[in-house]
Amino acid sequence: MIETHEAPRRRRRTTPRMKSLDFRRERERGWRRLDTLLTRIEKRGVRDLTSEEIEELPMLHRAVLSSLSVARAISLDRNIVQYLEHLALRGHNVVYGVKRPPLAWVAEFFARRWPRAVRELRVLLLLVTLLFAAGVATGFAMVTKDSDQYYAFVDFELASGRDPAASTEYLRKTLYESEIGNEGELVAFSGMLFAHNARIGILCFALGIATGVPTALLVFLNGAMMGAFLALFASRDLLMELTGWLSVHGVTEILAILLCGAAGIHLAQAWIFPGRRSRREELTRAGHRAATVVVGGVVMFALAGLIEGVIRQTVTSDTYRYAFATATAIGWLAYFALVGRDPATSEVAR
Amino acid sequence: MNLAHDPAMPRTETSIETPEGVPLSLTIAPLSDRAVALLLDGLLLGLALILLSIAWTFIATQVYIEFPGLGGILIGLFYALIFLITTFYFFAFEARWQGQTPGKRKVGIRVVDRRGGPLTLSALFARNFTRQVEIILPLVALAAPEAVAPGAGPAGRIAAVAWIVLLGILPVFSRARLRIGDWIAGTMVIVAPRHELLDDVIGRAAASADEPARTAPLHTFTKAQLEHYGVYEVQVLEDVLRGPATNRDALRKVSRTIAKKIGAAPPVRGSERKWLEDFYAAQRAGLERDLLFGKRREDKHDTPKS
Repeated sequence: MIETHEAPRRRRRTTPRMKSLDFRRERERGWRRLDTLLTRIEKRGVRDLTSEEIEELPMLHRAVLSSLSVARAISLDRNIVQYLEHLALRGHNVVYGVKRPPLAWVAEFFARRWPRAVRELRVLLLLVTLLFAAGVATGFAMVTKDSDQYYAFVDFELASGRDPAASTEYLRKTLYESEIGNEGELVAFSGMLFAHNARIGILCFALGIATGVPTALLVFLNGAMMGAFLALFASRDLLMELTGWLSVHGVTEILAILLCGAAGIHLAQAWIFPGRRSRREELTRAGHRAATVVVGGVVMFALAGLIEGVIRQTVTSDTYRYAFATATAIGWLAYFALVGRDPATSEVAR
Repeated sequence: MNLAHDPAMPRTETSIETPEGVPLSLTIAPLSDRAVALLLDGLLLGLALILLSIAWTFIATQVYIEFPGLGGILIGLFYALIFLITTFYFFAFEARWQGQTPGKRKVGIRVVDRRGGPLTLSALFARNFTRQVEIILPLVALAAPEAVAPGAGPAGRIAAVAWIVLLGILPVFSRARLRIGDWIAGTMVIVAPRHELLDDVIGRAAASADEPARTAPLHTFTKAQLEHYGVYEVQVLEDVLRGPATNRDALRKVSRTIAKKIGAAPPVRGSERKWLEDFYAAQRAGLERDLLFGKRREDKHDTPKS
């Protein structure tokens, strides 16, 4: 053993002279300061701090990290090391945590993230659209052949009386008159439909983890339901009128379903075929991208609900309905194709 | 920047590296904690929904009497609100409280990014949207199998239970206890205990001005007496000295054991604490000095080469 110059027993001081004690004495004030600020942030949010205090944070945090490294090297006081580790983690969460003001995040989301994420899924989006179209064709063909098949595709509650047993006159009425007397009922129905559709949309995403087959099935069945609907009205020569009625909000709603479906398939694809990256890494990348697409999808479902509750009720002319639907379709396509393409900030932010 | 796969680490420990290059060691939250947190959040959410329903019924009735035309809007809004609350409860809290929900906060766990990066909102969306499949869908299937798959019947209930159990035990197979939402979001759930900064055992009496005499060591130890223990024993002693001051029996027992081991006279009755504090100070000073020379003695069995 290397001989140390002085044995501690010779010393008679108020406290033994130790590096770890001096170290603590010098740095403790900064630790306590960070602790106080962090506690305030955790309790009342970042806004509780003044701008000077916020500017202090990164410096204090770095000082704590350096203290932690020193403490690990020279101090055997376990409490100090644990305290600093915990403080560093809390600081880490704040300094590198979610800190952007919500409004700025929302602006960034719609101006860049969402349309970009949608563009990245365009191939899958095309695939899901084909699947949906196949569903529509299947539903249409089957109900045209045998009208009893209608009940296999359309949920009884969603149909609310619009079934093969209804008279043509009644079906026409559902397209042009506010539903069954009370005009408020349609608004209630659109709120319900928003919740229902958005839940299905999120489910489409989440079921991607189950190999994506349930997602594909959901998309297909939604298409089939629409096909059955179309077939019923077509059998009464109301196809054009129904399409106008549906497409007012349907353009937005169906696009949202397709987006959520594509997100789910994307998840499954990353999981089953991770490609060159590790499965874990690829799944996380896909998860972030898909979740972004789905959040936007939920917003679209809400918009569709609003359109359904407000605009469709007031616009009863076929021409205006088609004009509105065309406008929304062009609007969405232009948005997804063009927004957020500036190359300056094109690095993929998770 | 990846999860450290140090085989020497206990299975529940992991570490992330901060952008400054300092590794932080973390404890993975045990599944029992997460289950309790989930249960608490579920109860809170249920309570919130019940209160909302009652309040809404009351308000809506009043409004409807005044303006019958608004009835539909109120019902529509109610459905939308219920959906938003149930879907974004976890997300909203985790975004606002740095990875904690009320349940997680109560239990003392939190969500962090697995690579030590920032916890992004898209990660929170991803990890919470999957709850639809992990919890809500099977619960609905359990309550009403017909609503999920027409004609499912009792088989649907069995499938729902199997699904919950399967996804519930899935985290056991990953080192960081990841549920599917964590895989997708790149997150994990860790223990977030509160560590208070305690006074150093050495010279802690120095803080109280009325007892300056206590701070000077009353007992001294020879160099040979300080060569029996390592870091581990010093830190155990730290825990003992930081324990409740009233536990005299423990102090006596520990001081006798140490005295016997190092070949010193056991302390007189009543002075065990002071004796132990002095020994702790002397022993830690010795070990820390060795540390500065690059020698670290882990425990009493460890003999570092000179």
